[in-house]
Amino acid sequence: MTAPLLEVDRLHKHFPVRRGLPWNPVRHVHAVDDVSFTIGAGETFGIVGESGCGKTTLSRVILLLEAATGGTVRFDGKPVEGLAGAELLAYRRAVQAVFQDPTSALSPRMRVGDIVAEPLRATGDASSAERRAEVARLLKVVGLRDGAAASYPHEFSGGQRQRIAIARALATNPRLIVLDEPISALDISIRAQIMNLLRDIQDRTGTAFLLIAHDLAVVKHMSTRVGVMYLGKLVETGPADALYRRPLHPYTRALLAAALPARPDDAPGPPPLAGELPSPLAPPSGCRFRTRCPLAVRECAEAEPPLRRLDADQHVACHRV
Amino acid sequence: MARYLLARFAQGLVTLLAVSVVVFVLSRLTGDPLTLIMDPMATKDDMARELARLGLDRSYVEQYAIFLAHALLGDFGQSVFYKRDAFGVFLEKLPATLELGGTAMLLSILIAIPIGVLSAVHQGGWLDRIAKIVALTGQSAPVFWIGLVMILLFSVTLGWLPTAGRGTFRHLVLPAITLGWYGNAFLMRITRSAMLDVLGTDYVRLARLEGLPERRVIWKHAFKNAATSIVTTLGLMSISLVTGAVVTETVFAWPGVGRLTVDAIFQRDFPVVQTAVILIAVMVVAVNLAVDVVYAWIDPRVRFQ
Repeated sequence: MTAPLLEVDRLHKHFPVRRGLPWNPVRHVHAVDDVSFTIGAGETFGIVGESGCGKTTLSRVILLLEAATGGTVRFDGKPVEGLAGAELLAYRRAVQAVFQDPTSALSPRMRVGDIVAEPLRATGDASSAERRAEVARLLKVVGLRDGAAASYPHEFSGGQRQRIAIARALATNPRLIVLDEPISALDISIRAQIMNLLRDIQDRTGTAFLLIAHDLAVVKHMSTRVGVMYLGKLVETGPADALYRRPLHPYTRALLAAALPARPDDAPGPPPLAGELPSPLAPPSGCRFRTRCPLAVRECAEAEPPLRRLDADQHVACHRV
Repeated sequence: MARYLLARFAQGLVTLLAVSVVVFVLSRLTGDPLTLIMDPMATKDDMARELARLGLDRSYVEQYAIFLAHALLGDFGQSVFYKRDAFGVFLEKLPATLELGGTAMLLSILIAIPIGVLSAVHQGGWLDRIAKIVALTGQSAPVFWIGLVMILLFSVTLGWLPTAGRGTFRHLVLPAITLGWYGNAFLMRITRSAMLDVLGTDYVRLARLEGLPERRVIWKHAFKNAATSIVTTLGLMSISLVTGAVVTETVFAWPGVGRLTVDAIFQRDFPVVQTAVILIAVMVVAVNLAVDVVYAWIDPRVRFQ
């Protein structure tokens, strides 16, 4: 087996929080807690989970927008923490991102051509004519009309803006693109178009994706492998088809059951989860899911279940499976 | 765009007309200048003759119509006190005010904007904290009080700078700081919060991901997008410089239009009061119009709306 492109190894991200008076004790939000996974070249790894489970924080740490408080992220076998100068620039070029809201992702004061060209300019070895040609090519790849380069972002619809954001992400020929909820801000009718565009691009360029979404169907459609996150932890990972066909962790089962069945006549799943998401400031002892888990026993409160391999490539963190 | 500007221009004219009515009526509510300029021994007949000579015996409506007709032709009447053209008196005092206001404005741009940006970039740092205290003082303390305290400290106690008057650069320092402080504080806080807003957006994050140097991220991406609020504030500030000049020029005996206006009010020199207030209003309207034009220039979204 070849070395993975991206290797996330026991990653932690805790945020200090001080509420109220300055001498109150500092507590920590465990946004990402002991998360490990790998992404191979050309692969899509999908992460699903409720809002607040740490998906976006995880992506920000990988993108070096936030510093990890523990663990390592390796790209091409090399740790990315502490990269500087030319090596940092190389990493920036190799790893790009597309975020949820295309309106806030594009500076309103810049023309589309300049937005897409800027990553090229940042790394600075193309002439302006080459840049213009490259911008035209990229805009064509994402299916925008000629002349889009001279317009401003506000002249485009949401779906078109997301295409612009994708074109910019492609500008440096990245080997990994972090897609943080790339379609959830778009109209339903546009979503399939953008998903197919992303898959086309992957087929053509072999770029790997880290896809973050809360929509299970989207993740299933796009991903080779999937990880399920709950309160900062990965509770289950596995190949997409296996995980959807046979979910093992009770949380994964509950998530899938909460999604509407494809056919109205299909039997409804087991009852959805009771209770609220516990505060990440004070996560439950042992297994974090136990407060809402239908299978919880005493053991779950005492020991934290490790992520262990069950069969094929499916891993699950549960005492009861 | 042209239509939009034309509409704004028309609104400005209406504003000026309203201002002229208000100042015309208000200045006359406190009495007339005769008690101040006439010989105490003057007879009732003398008073009536003088009143008729100044045209103050007619009704307000009549007086206003005459004033407006002349003003439109550029004749703002004779100053009762200076016995000269009121417009000329105003123009004579204008350079001093522009010098003071311009210096205060320049100080703000050179100090408040960079500090605001740095406060946002290093939020919670020592610069941010000091700037917060300076801004809070500037926004809470009245201008005249700041002026008096500065005179007491730097002129009377330390003897570094002159207490009042206009002349050398040293004369300019205290009034410019006094006048500029409030606007400076305002501008600094607005710059900071506008920058904080923009620094939290995805396009700034993505600019960092592109590998752009931090300086370029801050000035090209963030500052350019924060500029709309900053320009608005500069516009508002230039107005506060004019109104603040009335107080500052009185405290520092600065011979500008602010002090001219205050003196003219006490002397009931109606033509000068009217001229000063209306021309100051013209400047305020012009500044607002300029801000609108600058908006369209810095924000492409405005042009299409």
